[in-house]
Amino acid sequence: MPNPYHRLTGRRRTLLGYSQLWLGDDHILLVQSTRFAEDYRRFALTDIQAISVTDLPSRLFQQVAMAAAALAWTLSALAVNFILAKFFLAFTGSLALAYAVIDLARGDRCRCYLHTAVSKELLATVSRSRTAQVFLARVRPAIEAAQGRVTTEELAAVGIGVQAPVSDQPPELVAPRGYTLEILFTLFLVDAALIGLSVSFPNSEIAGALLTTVFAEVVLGIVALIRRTGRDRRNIAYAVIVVALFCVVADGAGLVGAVVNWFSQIVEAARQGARIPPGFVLAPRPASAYFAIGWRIAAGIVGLTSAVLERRTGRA
Amino acid sequence: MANVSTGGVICCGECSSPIPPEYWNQEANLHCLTCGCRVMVVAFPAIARKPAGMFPDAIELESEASCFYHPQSRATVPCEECGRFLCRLCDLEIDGEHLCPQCFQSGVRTRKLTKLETRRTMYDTIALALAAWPALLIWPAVLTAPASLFIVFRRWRAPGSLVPRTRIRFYLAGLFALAEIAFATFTIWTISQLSGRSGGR
Repeated sequence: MPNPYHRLTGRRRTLLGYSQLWLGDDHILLVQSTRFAEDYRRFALTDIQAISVTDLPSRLFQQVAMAAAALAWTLSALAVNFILAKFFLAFTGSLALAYAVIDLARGDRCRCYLHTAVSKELLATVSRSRTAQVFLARVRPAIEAAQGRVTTEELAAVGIGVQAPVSDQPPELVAPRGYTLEILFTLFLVDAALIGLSVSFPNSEIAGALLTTVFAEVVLGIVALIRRTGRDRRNIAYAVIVVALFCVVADGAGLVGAVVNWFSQIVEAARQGARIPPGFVLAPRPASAYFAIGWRIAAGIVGLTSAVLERRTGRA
Repeated sequence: MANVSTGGVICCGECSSPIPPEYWNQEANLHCLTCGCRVMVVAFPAIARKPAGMFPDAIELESEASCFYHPQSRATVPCEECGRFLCRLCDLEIDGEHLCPQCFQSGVRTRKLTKLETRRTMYDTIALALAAWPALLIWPAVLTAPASLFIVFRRWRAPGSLVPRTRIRFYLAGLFALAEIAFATFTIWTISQLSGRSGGR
């Protein structure tokens, strides 16, 4: 006997298993698998009241930042000498880059709910807007074949009191409370000064502090992009952050190389029986140093100015 | 997220603000005023349907048959499994078959009512996992390979998934298990041969 089920969506995989939607003759079947067992939930086509799809706020900046960070990680394999480190950085970076690119290609995220008289089921497999469109295109005819089409009179008879009407325009924006952007751009300026000092005084301990502050730049930049909501219209400031993250890629390659060489110096010193390990010395080429100082000053000034001005004009 | 009855209210999936019925079944996506997310609601006639409760009729004449579970209610149909008379409240119709609550429960428990099955064990995945994963550590496969083979033969005819699924996992599990058993046998035989030769010297 042929199987009556037709696949509606792909598998939504988790660590413990996956879930998937199938269309039967008179119901939708939700399969939740733990690999060793499958649990089934059926939603009769005649009982489905509504399907709602809510597009989640865009995370384009975060996705681009993740791709940039993954690219930086991968390219840092060129800056190290150890073959094992090269392989590790290249392999893990490639995986992260592939994930970021696939995430970008799959499009915007959404949340899809299936409403019945007794339940409101979140369809985890319908997590992307494109998937939701395809899902609706396949399921809607089947449900309408079972129930017919709802009329305007029937909708009016539902008669639910609603407090918050919808609009075809986005809502008014509210000013954010944090100053993450301002702190980040100030940090750029501070790091520019630190890099200049470490180049002028190579035997000082300033280069050690740079390890922390550059890492803080990356973390703050990613946090700022993640915390950006769809209603924050400080586009110039966020664009500067994205560009800055790409510039950190270029700096990071040299920095990672310097760190790896420092580790190899420590290992060599230990072999020779040295009691005091060598300190971290950052000695970049002049062109690299000027580039690192230059882009930080530019990003700091432009970003700080735009963040302050955009906040005052209410775009924040 | 807990599954709760909607009560006919459709809410935004991000901020849970209700979406009024006049904005359902619109071609263009609308924005929720509370959170600004685009929302699309596709509604069907079931949302306007009032929930139908089937109250049983009371017995009016002594000659009328009463329900087995509700002696004061009039029986409308017998159970097609056990023959008990059922009122409208107790009648459970599954695929045109009328069942009493007890037969319904036992049908689900014994898996006679396949349309109501909520869980199935994937023995093919279990057999493949037993054959494949322990082999990474080499020696546990000596114990798990026979177990995998046992499951393959014992559960070959067990009902698989409700949705389309091939038997490739069973085939692979049997193949891996046989290969591991053969490898283990060959290893033991080789060791015994080598021990015999070195002992003979």
